Amino acid sequence: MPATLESRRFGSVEVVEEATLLFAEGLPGFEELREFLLLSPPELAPVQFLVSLMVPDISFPVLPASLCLPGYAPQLGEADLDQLHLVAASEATLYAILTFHHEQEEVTANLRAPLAINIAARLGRQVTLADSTYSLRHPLCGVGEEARE
Amino acid sequence: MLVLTRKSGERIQIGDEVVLEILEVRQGQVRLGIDAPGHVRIYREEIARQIREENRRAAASEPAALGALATRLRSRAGG
Repeated sequence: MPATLESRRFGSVEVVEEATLLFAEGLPGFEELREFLLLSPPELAPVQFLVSLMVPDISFPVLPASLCLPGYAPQLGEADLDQLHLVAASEATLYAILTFHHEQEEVTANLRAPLAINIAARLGRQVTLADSTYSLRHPLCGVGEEARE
Repeated sequence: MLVLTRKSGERIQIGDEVVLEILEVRQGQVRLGIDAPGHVRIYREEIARQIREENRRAAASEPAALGALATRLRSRAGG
C-alpha cells in the first residue's frame, strides 16, 4: 500500500491505514475497485470522499447517512451483516453516496443503497435495501436549511 | 438460458435452498413467491442497474460542487 496517492481531485494525499476500507466486492459499476481511503478534506466537512487506492482519480462523495435523514436506521440483510462480520444492523456505520446533479444544481443521497461499514474491521459493502421506501435520490435541498436566514 | 414453462401454483427448485412459486399470472404480469434462506440476496434486477448508474454519476461529482452543501451542514451543526 502506498504511503501517498496522487489524485486529480485531491492532489497528493497521505494514505492513513486506519482510514482505509476494504469493499470485498467493490461497488456496483466499479467492481474492480476494492480498497478505498475515506478522505476528510476539512474545507468540505462533513462531506467525505471514498477515494479508490487502485485508481485514485475515482472518488465518491459520501455523508453519514444520519445527516441525510435523521433517524435513518434500515434493516440490513443477514448476508450483508455476515460479510461485514457484524451481528446486528445497529453495529454498522452507514454512509450515503452523494450525487451532484448539474442540471438542477442539486445534491441527492443514495439511501436505497447505503454503504454499510464495520469501522473496527475496516470492511465495507454497498448494500441494496429490501425496503423500497428509501430513495436512490433522496433530496438534500432541505438539509441544514433551518440554519439559514 | 434454461427456459421452463410453468402454470400458476407450480414451482421451480433452484439448488437445495431456493424455491420459486408461480402465484398468479394475469394481464402480462407474473407474481412470484420466493422461498430462500436469509443469506441469499434477492432484489429486482432494475434496482441493481439503477444503483450502478447512480454510482457512475456520483463518481462524476466534483468535490467543489459539494461546497455549498458542506457549508450549510456546518452552519447547522455550529448553530
